[in-house]
Amino acid sequence: MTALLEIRDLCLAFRTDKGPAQVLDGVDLTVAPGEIVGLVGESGSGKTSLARAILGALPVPQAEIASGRIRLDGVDMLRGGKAAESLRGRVVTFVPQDPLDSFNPLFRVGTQLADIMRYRAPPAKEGRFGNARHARETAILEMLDAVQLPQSRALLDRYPHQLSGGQRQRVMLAMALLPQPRMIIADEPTAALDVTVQVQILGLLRRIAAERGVAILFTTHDLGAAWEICDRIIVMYAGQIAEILPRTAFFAKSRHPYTRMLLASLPEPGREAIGISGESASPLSPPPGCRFHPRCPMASDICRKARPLPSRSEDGHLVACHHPWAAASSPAHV
Amino acid sequence: MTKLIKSIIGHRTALAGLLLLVLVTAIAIAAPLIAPHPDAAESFHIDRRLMPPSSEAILGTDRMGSDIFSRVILGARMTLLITAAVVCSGVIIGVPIGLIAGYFNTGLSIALMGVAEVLLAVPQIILAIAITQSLGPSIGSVILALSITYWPFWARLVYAETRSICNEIFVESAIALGASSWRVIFLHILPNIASSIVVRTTVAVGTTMFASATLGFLGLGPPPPSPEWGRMIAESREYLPEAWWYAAAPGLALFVTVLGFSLFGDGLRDILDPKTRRSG
Amino acid sequence: MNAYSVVANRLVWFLPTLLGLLAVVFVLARIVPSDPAVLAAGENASAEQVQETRDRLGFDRPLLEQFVEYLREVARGDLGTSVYTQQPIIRDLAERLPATLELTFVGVLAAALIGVPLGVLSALHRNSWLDHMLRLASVLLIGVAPFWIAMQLQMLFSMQLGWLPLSGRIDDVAPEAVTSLITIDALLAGDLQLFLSALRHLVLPALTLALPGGAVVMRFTRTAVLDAVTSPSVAYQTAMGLPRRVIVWKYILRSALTSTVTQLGLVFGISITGAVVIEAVFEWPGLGTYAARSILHSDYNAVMGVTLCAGIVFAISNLLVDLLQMVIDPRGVK
Repeated sequence: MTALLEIRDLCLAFRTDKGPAQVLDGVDLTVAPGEIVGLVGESGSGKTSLARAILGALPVPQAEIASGRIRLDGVDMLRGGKAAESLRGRVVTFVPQDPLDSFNPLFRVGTQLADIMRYRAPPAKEGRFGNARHARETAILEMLDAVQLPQSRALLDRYPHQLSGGQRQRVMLAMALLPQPRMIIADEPTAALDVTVQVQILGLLRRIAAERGVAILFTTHDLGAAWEICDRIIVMYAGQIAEILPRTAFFAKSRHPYTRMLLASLPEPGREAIGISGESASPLSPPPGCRFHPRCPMASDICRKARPLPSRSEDGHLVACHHPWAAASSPAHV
Repeated sequence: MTKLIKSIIGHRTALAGLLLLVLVTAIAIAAPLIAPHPDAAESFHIDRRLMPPSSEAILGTDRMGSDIFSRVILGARMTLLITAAVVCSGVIIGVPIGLIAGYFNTGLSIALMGVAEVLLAVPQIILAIAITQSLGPSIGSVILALSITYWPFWARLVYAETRSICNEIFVESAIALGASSWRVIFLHILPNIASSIVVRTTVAVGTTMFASATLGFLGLGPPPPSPEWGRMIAESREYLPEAWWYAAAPGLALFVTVLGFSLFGDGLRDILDPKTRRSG
Repeated sequence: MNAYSVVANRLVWFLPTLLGLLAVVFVLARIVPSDPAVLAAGENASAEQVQETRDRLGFDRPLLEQFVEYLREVARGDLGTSVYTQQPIIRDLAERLPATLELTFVGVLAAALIGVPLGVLSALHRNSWLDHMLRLASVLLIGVAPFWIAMQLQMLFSMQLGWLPLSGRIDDVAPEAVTSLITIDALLAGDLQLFLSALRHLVLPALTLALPGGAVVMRFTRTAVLDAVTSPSVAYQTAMGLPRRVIVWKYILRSALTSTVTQLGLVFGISITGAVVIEAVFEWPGLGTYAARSILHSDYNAVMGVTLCAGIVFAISNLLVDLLQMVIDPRGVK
């Protein structure tokens, strides 16, 4: 199966007053059609910048892409010009972190849905009388139904601030689905929601992906949320990929010390959550060698000198560490 | 403080404003020394009336035969004096009233802010004209009239800021720890709203200069032959368009001074208030 | 807040404010050094006539009693008689208020027509030479004293070029008063000649108001557009690939206008203040000239009438701004 999204050796820096900040460093990843991939990391790990790079929504004057490429459905998204532009909002759509801020507060929800439908969605099947407007409205109402928003006609006349957080995120999901994309990038889609609503939205995401065969790239700092719905999890640390875990390796088989520590920091019944000590690496002056070494309990001399190269096992499990935890499928190499 | 000075120097707008201000202030202070004909600034010379700019009087002479250049730079003193006095008294009256009304929030607050709102409910200039007229035209009455009409601007700002900051956790915890009211006001609240007050004050300087010049223009400022810019501009109206230089000099002087303050104020707002920085 | 509570809230504050204002002006008027009775009785009045006037007008009664009496008369719609014009003050005000409103309205309208498009242009081409020029121009215009602009305009356009009249409101007899706004009355009377004459008289004073006003509006609009451009909702729409023209001219413009409308109320207030002195320069027969002359003649009943009138105009303009803001911003008044 060919990859839908293919990122090779992506390096991205932001120009700041204090010099260039290296946000992404040599990122390689692929997403297959219909696959749900979680990008997990602390804030500052580069996951949001990665999502924005794909969408072409990086802050223009500051961002500098040093090397690498992003191909989506065969189109170069970094230098693709018009071709890449026409993909955005059609082949790849977006579910933002904060649905309230992402709506324009002065326009009715229906207007904002209609504009996405009108400018980004494939032409709706016209009714017998060829009324495009009517056909669009029908498509919107069907979609709102699909994201489990009942009484959606009344909803169209409301303003964003009159909706609940969960409703807003469902509308955002509907807007992401209307163009019938092959891939949705969801940037911490549940960060602004209550826990119970988070679970519902995650379930909805998973179901939609399965039903429609849409691939989802889902960023989160919540390993637990990623565990719930993803086929594959990519753990990022300080702009680099630390570990890529296939679904089978989710619980017992994580091998990178950082993933282990993230896992240990999850609250669980009968166990105290363990925080990760130390501060996240500064993108302005990242530590040499393995970027995690200042916080890693396993760090040795080599970690301070050489960047660990990723090693991949047969089931697709990838880890970039000099001292990975032993796994059944491949021996730890020191 | 050194950091603030550094950012002002690094900010083109603020620096340009500051340089203009330094220039105007220096001229005002040294006016009697710089003025080519200080003795001719306030006396009558019938043979030299309304002379266009020449090597003798570089900005021409007015209807009394006085050297306009000398009058304009002597007038800088008057304008700066009035403005400084009004702004200082505005701050001295308005800031404590706003702090007290905002912090204690009792019946007294309502009364104080009520007075402020009343004074803000009508164009300031009408009130100021009425007061100056009652008191008679002089520097003192201009200062008094503008002080009475302009302090509510500070009071309203400080009141609103104090009200909102009183709900912040660090103020609440200071109160809960038993700090005295005055301690909270001076150590916790005032430092946090200081930058808003500074920004408001730089804006007020330009407004005050216009207001005092307006009073002068309407004949309510310091009486002749005081070299007041507004009155000089008003006097020149009879001699337009022939004596074009007559209004030009005091008008430009007022412009440069106000410009200096507004540039400096804009720059200072950029530096002190990060919320509006992107407008820069 | 709904429309009723906005109006109610304004009214609750309006009456005590107005009362306080009258009290302040009343006290001020009575501490005028010159004896109001001497002024009221006329220049050549004998001592008996002055005393008689004093008794008749009640100048020797306690201040509070006089104030209550004054309020009672105001409540009946009687503002007293002007010592200077020998007319009922309410009639003086009725004659002059329309002139000021006409001038201010045209001035603010022109300020908006100049300021809004230039502000949008300036923001969209941020940091271009056009932006720098416009911002420089706005700083310069805000720094010039209104009466000085007025005189320079008079000198250039009336005295030297002779294109526009120097002062006044109309050349011929005013048209039959329907709205008392001469431009509109002339149109209603179908007299194009008269309309053009009125318009020519309006140009310079309105321009004097509109130049600094337009500069202020331009700055506000620029800031508002920049805020909107960098808002998360625009970032979202860009990521979703909505056409730039739709984002700018539909969504950003509407957001920017919302805050500009609020500022227009402020500009209206500045303009009314400016009108006092601008009317003096252009001999515009409005409230400003009337106020200045009444004050200079210690015509204190007239001064109180003007103050009352200005307070009411201020309050109504604030109310209108609130209501307008409510109409265009569904989130309601802040």
